Amino acid sequence: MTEERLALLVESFLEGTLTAEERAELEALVRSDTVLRERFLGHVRLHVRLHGECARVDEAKAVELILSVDSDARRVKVWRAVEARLRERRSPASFSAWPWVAAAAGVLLVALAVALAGPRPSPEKPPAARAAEPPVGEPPPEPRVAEETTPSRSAAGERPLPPRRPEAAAPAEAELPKKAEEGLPPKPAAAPGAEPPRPPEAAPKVAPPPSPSRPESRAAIATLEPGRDILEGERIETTYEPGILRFPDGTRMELAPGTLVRRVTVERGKRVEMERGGVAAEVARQPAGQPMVFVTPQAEAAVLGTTLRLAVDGKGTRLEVLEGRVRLTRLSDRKSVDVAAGFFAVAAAGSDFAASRIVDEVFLAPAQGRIRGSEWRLVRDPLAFGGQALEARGVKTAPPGQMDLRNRLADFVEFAFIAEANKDYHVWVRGAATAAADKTRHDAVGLEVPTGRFVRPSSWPEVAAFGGHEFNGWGHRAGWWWIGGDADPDTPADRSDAVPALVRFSRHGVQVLRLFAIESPLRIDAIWLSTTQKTRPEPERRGPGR
Amino acid sequence: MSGDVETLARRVKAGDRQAFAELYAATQRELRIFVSAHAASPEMVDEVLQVTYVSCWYSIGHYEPRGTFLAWLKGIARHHLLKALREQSRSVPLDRLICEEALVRIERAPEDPEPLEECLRRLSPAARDLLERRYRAREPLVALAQALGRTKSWVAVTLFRIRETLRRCLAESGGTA
Repeated sequence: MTEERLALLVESFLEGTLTAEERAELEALVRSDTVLRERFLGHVRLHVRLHGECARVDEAKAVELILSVDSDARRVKVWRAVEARLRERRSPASFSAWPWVAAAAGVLLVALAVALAGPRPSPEKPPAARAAEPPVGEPPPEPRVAEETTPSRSAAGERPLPPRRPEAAAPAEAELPKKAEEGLPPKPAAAPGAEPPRPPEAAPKVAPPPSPSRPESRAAIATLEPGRDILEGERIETTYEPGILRFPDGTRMELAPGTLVRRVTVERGKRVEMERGGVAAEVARQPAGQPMVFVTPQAEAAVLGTTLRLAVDGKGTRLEVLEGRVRLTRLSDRKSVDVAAGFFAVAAAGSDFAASRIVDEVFLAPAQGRIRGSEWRLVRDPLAFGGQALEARGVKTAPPGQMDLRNRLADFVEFAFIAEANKDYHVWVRGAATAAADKTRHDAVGLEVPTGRFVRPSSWPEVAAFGGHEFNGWGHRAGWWWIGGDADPDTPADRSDAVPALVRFSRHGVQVLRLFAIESPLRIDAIWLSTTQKTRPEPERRGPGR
Repeated sequence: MSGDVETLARRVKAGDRQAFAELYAATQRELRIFVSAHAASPEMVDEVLQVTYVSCWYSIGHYEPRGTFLAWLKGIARHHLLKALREQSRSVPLDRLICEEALVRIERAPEDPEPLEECLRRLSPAARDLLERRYRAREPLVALAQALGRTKSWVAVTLFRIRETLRRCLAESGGTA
C-alpha cells in the first residue's frame, strides 16, 4: 500500500466517488490496521471540520425560518427589513412561479411508482449483463470536467482562511508530491464486441426518431422495452405511456410520459441529452473516468452509480438522488453542487443552487406542537400514540352555515417542520371523539397551512373562505382512527375523504401548519403528511414504515 | 459579542422575530464549527444546524439566561447530533465506523474543539490556497487537477498530506483530530 494509493482511497471516499471495489479495499484496510483506522478517522474529522470552518454564513436561512413562523402582515415587514440587510446575492424566487415543477412532480410520481416496482441492481454486485457492454471503440477519455466558479471572497459573512505568518515555514508534509501519476486506478479495458443490432420492433409507447434515418450498421447500445434496440445517437420520445430503457450493464431508466431525449450515446461513457420530461434511473457502477452524464438545457449531472430522478422542462432541472452521489453542474455558470443520497437540487434561473433534503413524509406528534390560546392543551392518554394527545375543549358546536371560526385566530396548535415545495402531500389526522354523548356533533377540526395551500378547496364554505381544510367524522367510529378530510358517511363520495386532502407548499424549507378546533371535545394525536399514503391508514399505523 | 447575543436572545424570547435573524447571523458560525467538530459528514452538519435553529425558535420561551445563550444552543445541537449519529450508525461499514467513533468522542470530548486557525496559519500559501479551493469553493478533485495542470492523484495526495500536517499540529496543541 503506497501513500498515494491510500490518499486516493481516502480522498475518493470523502468526495463520495469511491467505487465498490475501492470501498471494499478501504474497509479491509481500516479493519485490519488500527493505526490506519485512526488515520482514516482523523482525516474524516478534519474534512468535516474544514468544511465547517470554511462555510459561508448563510443569513438567508434566517429569512427562511422567519417566513415560516409568522404569516401575518408583520411578516412582510420583517421580510423586507431582513432582506434589506442581506447581500444581494440571494434571490427570493419562489417555487410557486414554476408550474413546471408541479407538472414534473406528477410525472415523477408515475416514474417512481414504476421504478420502485422494478428490480434494483446491487451496486456491490453489478449484473452479469455488464460484461456484454458494447465496445467503445477507443480507450476511455479523461472525464469531462465541470469548471466551478469560485464564490466571491468578499461576500458578506464569508471568512477567509487566516493569513499565513510570514515567519512560519511551510511544513514539508504539505509539499507537492513528485510522482503524480502513482496510485491512479487502472483504466478499464475495452469491452468485447457486441451482437449486431436486432431489427427494430414496433414500440407503440415511443415515438420513432423523426430524422435522420437509422443506419443499420450501428450497434445497439440499449433496449427500449419491450424489445426495441436503441442505436448510438438515437432520439427517444415517449407520448402517453412511460418507457423503460435498459443498458447492457444493468443501468435502467424509466422515462415518464411526455419525455423527450434528444440523443443517447455511449461512445465516451453513457450520455443522455434530455429536452424535457422525467427520468427515474438506477445507474449501475460505471467504469472509472466514465460517469454516466445526463445533460439538460440547464444542467449536467455526472453519475458514477446511483439511483436518481430527474425532471426537466424549459425553465429548470430538478435532480433527486436516492442512492449514491451525483455532481450537478449548472450550465449557465458552470457551478457545481454535489447531491448526496436523500437530497435534491434544482438548476433554474433565480433559484438557490444547493442540495436540500428530500422530504416525502412528515409525521407530527402532539409534543411538537406549540399551543396558542386556551382551547387546546396537551394531555396524557394511554390509548394515544406515545401516551400523549392534544385535546380541544370549550368550542361551541354550530349548525352548518352558521359556523364562526374566528377562534382559530387566537386558539390553535402550530407545527413547524421541513417539507418540499410543489410536492403533493396527502394529509391524514388521527383523532378520537371524546364527548360523552352525541359524538358526531363534536368531532371536527381544521388545518391551515400559512406556507402553502390545500390543492382542493374545502367543501365547507366557512373553512374554504380562508383556505383551510376540515377534518371531520371521528364520532362515527369508536376509538382512534385516521381521517383525510370529511369522513362523515353522509358526505357525498366526491367530497368525502375517500380522496384525502392534499397540501402543497410554495417554497422549500421550514413549513408551518396550524390545527384549530371546529367542534369539541375531541383529541388528536398525530398528523401525517405523505406523498405516498393515498388511502386511509390502518388505525394503529404510526406513520411511514411503521 | 456575547452580550449582544444575550440581548438578541432576550429580544427573540420576547417575540421579536427580526432579532431572530440577527441572532442567527451572530451565532451561526460558532455553532457550525462546534457541530462540524463532531458530525460525520458535511451534510450532517447542515441538517443538524437546520433543526437546531428550528428547535431554538420553538423552545426559546424556556431559555433562562443562567449560562450563555450559545451554551444553551449547543446543548440543542448536541441533542440533534446524537440523534443523527445514532440514526446513521446503522449505515454501511465505513460510515458506521465514523458515526460510532463520533458518538464515543462526543460523549467524552470537551464542548468546543481545539481552534484550527493557528494550524491553518502555519501552512504554506500553496497549501492554504488548495484548501480554500477544495473546502470554500468546493471544487471537485478532478476540476482542481485540471485547473492546476496536475493529476487527480497529485491533488489527492497533496490534500491528504495537508490534513496530516493539520492533524499533527492539532495533536501538539492538545486536539484530537
